[in-house]
Amino acid sequence: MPDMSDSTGGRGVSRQDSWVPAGLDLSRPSAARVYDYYLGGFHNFAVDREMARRAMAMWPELPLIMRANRAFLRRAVTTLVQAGVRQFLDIGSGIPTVGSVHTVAGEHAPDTRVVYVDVDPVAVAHSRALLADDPSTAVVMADLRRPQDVLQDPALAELLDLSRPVGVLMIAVLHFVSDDEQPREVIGALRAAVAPGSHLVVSHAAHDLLPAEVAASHQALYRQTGSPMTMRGRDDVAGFFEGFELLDPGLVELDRWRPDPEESAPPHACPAWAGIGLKR
Amino acid sequence: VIGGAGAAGGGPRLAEVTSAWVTALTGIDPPPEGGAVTGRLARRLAGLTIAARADPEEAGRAGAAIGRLLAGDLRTGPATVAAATEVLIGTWPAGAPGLAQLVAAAVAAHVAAAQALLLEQQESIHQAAIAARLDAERALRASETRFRTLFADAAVGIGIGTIAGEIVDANAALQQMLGHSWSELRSRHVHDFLYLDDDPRIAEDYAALISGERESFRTEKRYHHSSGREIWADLTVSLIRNDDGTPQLQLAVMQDVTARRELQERLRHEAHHDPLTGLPNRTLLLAELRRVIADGGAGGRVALCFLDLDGFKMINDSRGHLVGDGLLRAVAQRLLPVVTAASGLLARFGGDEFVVLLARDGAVPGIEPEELARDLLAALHEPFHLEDEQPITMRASVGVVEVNADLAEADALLRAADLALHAAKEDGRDRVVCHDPGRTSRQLTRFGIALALPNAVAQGELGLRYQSMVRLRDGGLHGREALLRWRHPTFGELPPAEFVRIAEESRAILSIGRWVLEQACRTLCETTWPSINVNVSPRQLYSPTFVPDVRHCLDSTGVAANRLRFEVTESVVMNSHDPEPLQALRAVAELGVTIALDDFGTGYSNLAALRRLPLSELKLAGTLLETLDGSHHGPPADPRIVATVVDLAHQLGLTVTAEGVETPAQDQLVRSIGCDVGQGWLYDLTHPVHYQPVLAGPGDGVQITL
Repeated sequence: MPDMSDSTGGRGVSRQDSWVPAGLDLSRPSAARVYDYYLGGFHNFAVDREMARRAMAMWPELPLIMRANRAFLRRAVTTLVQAGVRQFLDIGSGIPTVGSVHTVAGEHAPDTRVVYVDVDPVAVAHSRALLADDPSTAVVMADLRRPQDVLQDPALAELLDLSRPVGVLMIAVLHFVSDDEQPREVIGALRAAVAPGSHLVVSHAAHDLLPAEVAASHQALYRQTGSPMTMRGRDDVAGFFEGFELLDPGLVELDRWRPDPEESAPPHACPAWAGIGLKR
Repeated sequence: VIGGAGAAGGGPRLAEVTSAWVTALTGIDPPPEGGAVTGRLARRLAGLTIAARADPEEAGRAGAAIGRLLAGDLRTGPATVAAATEVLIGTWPAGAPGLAQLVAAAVAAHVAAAQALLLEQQESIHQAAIAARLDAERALRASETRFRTLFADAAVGIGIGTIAGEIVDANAALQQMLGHSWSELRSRHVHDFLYLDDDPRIAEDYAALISGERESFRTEKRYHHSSGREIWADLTVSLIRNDDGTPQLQLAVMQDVTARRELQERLRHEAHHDPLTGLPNRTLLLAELRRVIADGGAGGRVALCFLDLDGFKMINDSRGHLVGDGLLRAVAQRLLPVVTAASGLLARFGGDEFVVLLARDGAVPGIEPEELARDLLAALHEPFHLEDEQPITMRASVGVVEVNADLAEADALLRAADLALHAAKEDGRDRVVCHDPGRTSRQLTRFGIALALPNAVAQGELGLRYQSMVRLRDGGLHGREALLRWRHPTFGELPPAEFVRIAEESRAILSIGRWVLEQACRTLCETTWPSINVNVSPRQLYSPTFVPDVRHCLDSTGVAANRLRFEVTESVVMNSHDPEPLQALRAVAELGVTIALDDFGTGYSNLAALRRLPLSELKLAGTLLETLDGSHHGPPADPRIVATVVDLAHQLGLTVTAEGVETPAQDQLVRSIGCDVGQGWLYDLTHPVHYQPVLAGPGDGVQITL
């Protein structure tokens, strides 16, 4: 399951644009562009499509799962907007082809402000080109593994009022943060920075919803790309919501989270956990 | 539109068509064309499908809308075209016109929309890649500019070299440190800066770095500045590798630590060297001695020569410390080449004592230590000509000891050499004495004295004896001189000659002097003696407690100050550089204590200097008397000259006392030259305080044998 984080293994990531980004290597696949390919987009290069085809050879349902993720994003954003949230921080935003946060939210509340964060310089450049004329959005290049880099970016401070509730979206991204990289501390830093009434939205690849051999082979493939993947079980993912109060129906399979009756269910169950937590 | 379905003449109704679209598009394999179908999308597709039945023209419009709708949902692949075509044909009312237009328009519009989407998205992602790359390049340039500035303006020297050692770049700080311009440096080689006499570990570290075995090393290294001076740098060399990991460049960062290094060197040097002569000091010599002993293999010999200047104290006291210091420097300069030629180590051990350490290998015998010792003495034979001073003749004595290095023990060796030195001193000066184990027992007395002396006062081992001084005019008692005795527990009663010199070499003289003063005052208090003469050492006059001690003794005993008389030697006043002794004497003279100049006629006998002292008496040395009556070896002194001196002293208002009067002839002599007072065995032996001798009358010498 690809993410919108760094697919090229670069760790030393641009704090400001003044330093050379480590992730700009077009000879290697980018998770953001691979994800775009799964979604049927053409924002990708041969190397990305090759990577996607190898993954799909092992796991043909991937595009469906990606669409399910996108659908969850739509439902989550709609839910939060209806709850009154007007600020979003989309971490690992990738290449927003269809159903971006600001378009979904904009359908209900045009005054919504969105900060997109990604570590992939091409995804960031694409997003900036796409959103250049939209003052209600900003694009930040930062590594979520250094949450202070995200939080202290001037563009974020300019657009978001952290004294008011924020919807923090981490869709299909935390499984690219290994246990050594302390994902709970990352989330803790974000939780500490946002105001009460803020929400944390998470979807996460689940090894306990998959046949063991599929999970193993998929993680092995991502190890080859230099973007190792840590699928987690339900308890571990639930741990990310420490300090948050889970909205109904709690932490559930991706497509079971408040399904839209207008959408047909995918033919296979989605091997991912999804949930939304509220900071009281 | 939906309502019009029936009008088109049969065919599946809206719900069936919607269901057909959902079925067709759901789970299309292979993805990504397939995916979950929203009810909304299927309903819109179904509506259009039914609307197309109206007429062929409408079929064309609806088909185009269907194609665009599918492509717009990112269903752009061939499977979608196939599935959509099947739905369109499968749900078309049999025989109705417009199917061809519907399908053709749908496919054409889908392909067109998909193509447009593809081109647009490919273009946008390429633009994004270009933008990202431009951003990266801009950041890289900015970063390079920063690094370039950092490199150029850094206060530390930075140099870059190839693995082969060619110098590729060097910043201004490095050029300045080494004193070479960039054009000079670029033609140099890294190896030019690795010196043969560098610490060999530097070359090892460098080789390991160049071969890629290590990533960096840090060291302190010496460099030659182009001006020839030596500089020290805190150097860090790091390896820069290619992408494939092969060593490519070396980066040297160096900070000039010359000043710190020099300070460290100087502090270390100062800790191990004598500031006056620049020679190694006692600490360094002992460390070297212990090292030689520790390293000493079989056959190695280690020798020490202890050299002590004869009569240096006299020079120091009479001509002042500046001259003494100059003389010590000159002696060091004379000795050093001799010792260096013999590959020995010369140290100043303290005072006027020099020590040579000579380590001899069994294989290369080198010079014999005794021979070296004689060379040392020979080097001193020429008189010393110090600036603005009379030539000084300085002799020395040397004690030598040599043992097998593997048997040596540093302290024992030092003790043995010191014993030999003192043997040399006592054998007569300007001599070399080699350590003779048999001497040790005899010589130990001297060490016993030095060791026991500091405790002699506390142990109550000191005592005073008094010798009368007789007025020659009427035989009356002029006063008595207090003479110090030491009742040594082992060696019996010792006269001052045995230990006063040793006491003066240490601080023991201060406590002894204070004790004598107290005893004299007490005796004055207990007797009706006119006065007591007390000998005062120059060292006492330098002590800040001397004057207060005198005042305290007088006050506490209630003795009149003019009953106390201090005897000082000429050397005290000869040193014009040192005002302290004179000030001390003037201070006690102001208290009322009288001052006598002792041993006049043995030293400089400088009458002019007498006026600087608050004197009331002059004591002619006993040895002068011997030269007058011819009992002394050597040319006799002229009595007329001595008489003139006495006359002059009288004119200065001084009382003249003749010491050492032992025979009636001498008694006659001292009377004839005008002396006022006589002292000696002829008149009185020395006595304990409570012995009241019967004084001999004038001319009635009493022969007493001890």
